[in-house]
Amino acid sequence: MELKKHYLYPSTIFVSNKPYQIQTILGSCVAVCLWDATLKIGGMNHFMLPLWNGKGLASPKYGNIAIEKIIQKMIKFGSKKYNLQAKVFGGAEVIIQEKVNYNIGRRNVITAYEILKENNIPIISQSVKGQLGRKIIFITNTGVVLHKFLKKS
Amino acid sequence: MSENITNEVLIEELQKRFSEYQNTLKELIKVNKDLKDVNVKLAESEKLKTHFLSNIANEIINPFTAIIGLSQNIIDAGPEDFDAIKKMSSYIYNEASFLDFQLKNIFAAAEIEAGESEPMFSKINIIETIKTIKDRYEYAAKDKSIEIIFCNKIEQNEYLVVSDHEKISLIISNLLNNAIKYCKLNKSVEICIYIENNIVNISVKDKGEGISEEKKQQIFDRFNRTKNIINSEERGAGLGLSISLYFAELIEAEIIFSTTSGVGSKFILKLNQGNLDIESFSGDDNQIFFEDIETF
Repeated sequence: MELKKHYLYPSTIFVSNKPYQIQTILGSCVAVCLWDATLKIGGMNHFMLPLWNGKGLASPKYGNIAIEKIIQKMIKFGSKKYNLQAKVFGGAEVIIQEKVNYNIGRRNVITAYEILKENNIPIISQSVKGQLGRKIIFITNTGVVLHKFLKKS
Repeated sequence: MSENITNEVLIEELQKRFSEYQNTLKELIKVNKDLKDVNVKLAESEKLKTHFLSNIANEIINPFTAIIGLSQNIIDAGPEDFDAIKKMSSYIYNEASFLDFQLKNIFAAAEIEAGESEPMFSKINIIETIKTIKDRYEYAAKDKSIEIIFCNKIEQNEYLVVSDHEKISLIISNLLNNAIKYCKLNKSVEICIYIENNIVNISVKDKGEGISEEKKQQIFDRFNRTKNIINSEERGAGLGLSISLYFAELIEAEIIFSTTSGVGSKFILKLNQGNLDIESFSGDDNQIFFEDIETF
């Protein structure tokens, strides 16, 4: 059966109780995939910066908001927090157009670790940091994440 | 081992470590200060949110009350009151447009904060888009005897860009709404479109008081307004610019502004024309994994 696809844009969250292929591309951004093995459902976020500093809207562009929000959404779909498992991707130190994002990738990853720990959600697998961007596909009914590094162009 | 270390080496090492500690301390002090700033901001944000909730009820109820009252008057009017009816209808149009705009902003902010706001790209005629928005604000402008001037420096009636129609419309609406809101009576608001270095520029200029140095940093913050909400006669929720900035980022555009005290402000939306060759864009590409796939 062909799964429905969802392309996840930066600063957004996608959770569904239907099986989906959630696809995204990561540089210094981080995506946290949450997977509920009991209900066989999952969701993904894609945040760009570690913490909301009170500027602009309190959107899931920021790690602390994106992770709390995705947990809430999973709970809304019937998940119990103690059944949630996390997979963390991204946080590379990518230099885009000669603009160096100083440590953004690393700080994004640390934020993900900290907030997942606060919520007692175990990280069961991950591929983080490094210099290369990543493309990932999360298959929500099996919890499998397909992962590929993007070649430097 | 230890007897090999001379006093000089020891002192040097101590100095090195001492300066490292100094640097760490400096960094810590800076981080602490940042943290304090954020704390103040968050507390402010909570306060503003409370204001927002009490304020927004009025923002929605008042236009409705006006619309109900005015339509009642129209129902009761006789055929001889034609001119009055026309005037009342224009008021209703104005109030309803305002309500529509307010609600669009609130829903947009809710969607953004829920992480559900995604760009939907298609070809749009940007000239037509601007004209439609301008028409919608004519009544509001007339109310303050403000003239909206549209200068189309592209000098065509059609100019296509690939972007998100809904998001661009809301950005321009917010810029124009603010310009009219903060413009002085009997003056003009100017909306221009021109191309500069392959970038489509849409500028909105008002003749108002300008933005103070201290407020410049805050204008894109949510619920923030240039004047205190409670004592302000100006309407609005204080969401417009924060939404506009967010949407601009989403469609890979940019908003810049300049302001002169006592003269007015000018906001410019800078857009890429985008790739017109594609029929419609979707991020859902069919690029399949051929090699180097790993599973996690």
